[in-house]
Amino acid sequence: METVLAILTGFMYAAGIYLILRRSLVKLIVGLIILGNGSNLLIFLLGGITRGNPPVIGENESMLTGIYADPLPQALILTAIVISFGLQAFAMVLLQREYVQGGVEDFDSIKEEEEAL
Amino acid sequence: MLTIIIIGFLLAFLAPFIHRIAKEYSGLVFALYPAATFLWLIKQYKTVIEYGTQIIPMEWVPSLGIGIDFRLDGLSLLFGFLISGIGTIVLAYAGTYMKGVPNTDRFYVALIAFMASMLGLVFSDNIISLFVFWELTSFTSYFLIGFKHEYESTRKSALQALLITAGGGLALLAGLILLGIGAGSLSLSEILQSGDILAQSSLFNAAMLLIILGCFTKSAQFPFHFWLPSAMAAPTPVSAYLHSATMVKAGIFLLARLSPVFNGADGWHATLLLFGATTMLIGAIIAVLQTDLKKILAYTTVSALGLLTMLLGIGTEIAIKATVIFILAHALYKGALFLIAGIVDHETGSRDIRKLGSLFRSMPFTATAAVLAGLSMAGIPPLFGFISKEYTYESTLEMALNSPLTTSAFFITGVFFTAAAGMLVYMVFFGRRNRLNSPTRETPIVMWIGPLIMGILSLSLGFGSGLISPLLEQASLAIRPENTTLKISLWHGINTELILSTFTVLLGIATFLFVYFNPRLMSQIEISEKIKPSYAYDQIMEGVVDMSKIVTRKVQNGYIRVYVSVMVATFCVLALIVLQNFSIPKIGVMWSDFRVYDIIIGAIMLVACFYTVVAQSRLLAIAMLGVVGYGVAFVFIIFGAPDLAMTQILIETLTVVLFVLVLWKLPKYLIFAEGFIKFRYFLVSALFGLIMTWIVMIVTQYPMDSHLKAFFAENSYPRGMGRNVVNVILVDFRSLDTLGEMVVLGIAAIGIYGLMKFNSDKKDFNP
Repeated sequence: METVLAILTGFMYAAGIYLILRRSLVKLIVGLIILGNGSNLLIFLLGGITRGNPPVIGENESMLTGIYADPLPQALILTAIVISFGLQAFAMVLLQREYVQGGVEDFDSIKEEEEAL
Repeated sequence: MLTIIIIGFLLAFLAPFIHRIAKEYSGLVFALYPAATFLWLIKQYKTVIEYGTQIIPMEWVPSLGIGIDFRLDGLSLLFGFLISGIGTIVLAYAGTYMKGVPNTDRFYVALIAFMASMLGLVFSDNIISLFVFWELTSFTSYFLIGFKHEYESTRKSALQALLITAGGGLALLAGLILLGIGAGSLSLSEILQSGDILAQSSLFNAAMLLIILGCFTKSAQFPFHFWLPSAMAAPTPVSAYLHSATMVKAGIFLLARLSPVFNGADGWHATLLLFGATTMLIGAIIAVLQTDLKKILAYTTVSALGLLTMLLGIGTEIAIKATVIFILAHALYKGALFLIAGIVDHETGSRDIRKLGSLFRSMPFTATAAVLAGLSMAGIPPLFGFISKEYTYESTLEMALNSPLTTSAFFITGVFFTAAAGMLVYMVFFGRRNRLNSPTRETPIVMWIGPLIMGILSLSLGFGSGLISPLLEQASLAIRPENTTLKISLWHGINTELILSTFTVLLGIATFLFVYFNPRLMSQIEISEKIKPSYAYDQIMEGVVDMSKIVTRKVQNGYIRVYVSVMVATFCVLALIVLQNFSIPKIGVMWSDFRVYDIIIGAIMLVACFYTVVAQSRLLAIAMLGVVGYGVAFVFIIFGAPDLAMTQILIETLTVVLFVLVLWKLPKYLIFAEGFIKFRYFLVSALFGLIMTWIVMIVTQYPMDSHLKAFFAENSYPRGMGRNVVNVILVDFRSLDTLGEMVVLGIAAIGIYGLMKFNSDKKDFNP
């Protein structure tokens, strides 16, 4: 399964970067989101994945036993998901404002507008 | 010593307040500071004469061997006396000179800070603190030169002086550090004693050349000399102080200071001799072609600095003695002449020698001072300048090699010095050709008393040279420890030096008369702009500005895709360099490990990803984006991360909802004419994706051995009192990270709110 996920991660990175490189504002946001998801997957994979139990301690035990998933990458990813959401939300609103305000639809016209000033 | 310097900086800090109270007397009030320093130095001087060099240690950064140690010896005292003595005169003078000029308080701040830095520079016994003070003098002088900042030419001159001296300062810093490494100590005393070890060091030549470069820029040696005449844009008290007696001599001071280390090295003598003599000749020749009083003084100063460098380059016993004598003689007459030029300018409004004349009658005291200083400059007995010239001739004549060359070079310089002195004094104060229309009157005593004292000193030191001998002897010992006693006297008997000196003066007078009677001819001589080093400087400056414009336009071109592709491409190249050591992992598929739903999820995600990219409609793209996000959530579920899956699903839903909400205000998907460009992006991103896959495959080949995993597994419940380990990590073990995360979200929320708000405000502005 690692192989499939590795290919998937690479695919998501490629898709994200490709979208970011385009001129459209919307594509940039879509690209950012895919890139964020790809990164989370990357951390998850690098932390070592196991088809094991979730890292939750049983009722009558005081520590994790048996095969269990590594809790640390999970904690990191949890943070990353939330933070990338913050970033995405901000980017969305920022670009939307830029569009409503300046009427620009792509990055080249933003640049042209700046140079005209 | 440290106290004195700190008081100086404090005083500079308080200067605006004192100025507000003392008003036009503030110059006199401030003059108390250098005057007190002068008296204190006299006390120290007695100790030095009796007990030799005094070191005052003071730690600063002991772990790096950097201290603010101070060194009191003949050389530093000689400079200390000049700085504080002339400083007193200049400050008192400036009080009247600057009357009515706006922003005088700033002038005092810079001037007093300069004074303190200069004192720090000459008394430092640690090369790092010396360098710090060195740079401080460069910066304060930048403010002083640029005082009349409303003129563009002034700003340009100030910047030029700063760039050249501070640029040279960088070379100096490198040189000093190499010297410190070579000697194994940053203390000047130890460096001076480890000359033999240093001479063996491989860093020796590099250190020497860098230090020479730094000193040459500071002391306006050819080809860096041009900043000094431009710096005449400064108010005259500044020129008198910085550009004759103190700052420009800092380079000479450091060359002299390090002479015990470098004296004897071949490169040292050759470089100093060559550049010193060239500067001396160029300065002297250009000086007599000038018509502005301050420009004449500036070029003769350049010439004098060249002479000092040359003397240090000769480096024999007599040459070092000549050096210290000339330092004093030059400071006395040149400082006085600068101040006199300031008085003339102040009273008549002109500094052009073609327009001035017959000022003696109306300004007898100033004129007397001018005559004394001028005679000393021309080297006419019994003034101190004469003695200095005798010693210089003696040192050039005694040279084993190149004696005829240096002697004739100095002879020519001496002739032009005499001529320049005549131009400065005779033409302005006695020449009858020009009569000023406006009546002139003598200046207040505070202004002429300073130059007059300096003139009288030039005269009395000529007779009573024995008075100053012990100080100069100490100074020459500091430059060349093997020197013998120095007994200065006016009369050496009739010898070659005297004959040469007489001829110099006679020829100088002849030259002056030639200049005096042929003003038209002189004005016709023009030096082509293109051969001046300042032309090269201008070209370089323009070139630098143009270059940076081109580079900025290329690098900061404003296209996000260019930035991103450069970053991604750089990453790819670097990653490939590293990855070439690893073999491409085999895609080994263990069928036993595979589940059907893995394949299904993977396939769905791949397809969704693909459609997100190629979708023509925004809504489809967002829907596919949601599918990818939920796919990731499924992966989390499969591999034992229910918390992640929960968060992922929540956030993904929120993202899609938010996206759709703002979507109606976002532009439609635009299809820009692309094709080849699109393919290029495709290549870059595909390469990036491939590399990422490769990296993941390599990493997952190795078993993860994380003790953290075991740590959290064991300690979560006993120490964190929680059964869900991920949650315990977030809120307990790594709770600060979570706090940071919350702060980030808060900031994002504030930002979003601000953007909304900003928008509505803007609408009111632009209906």
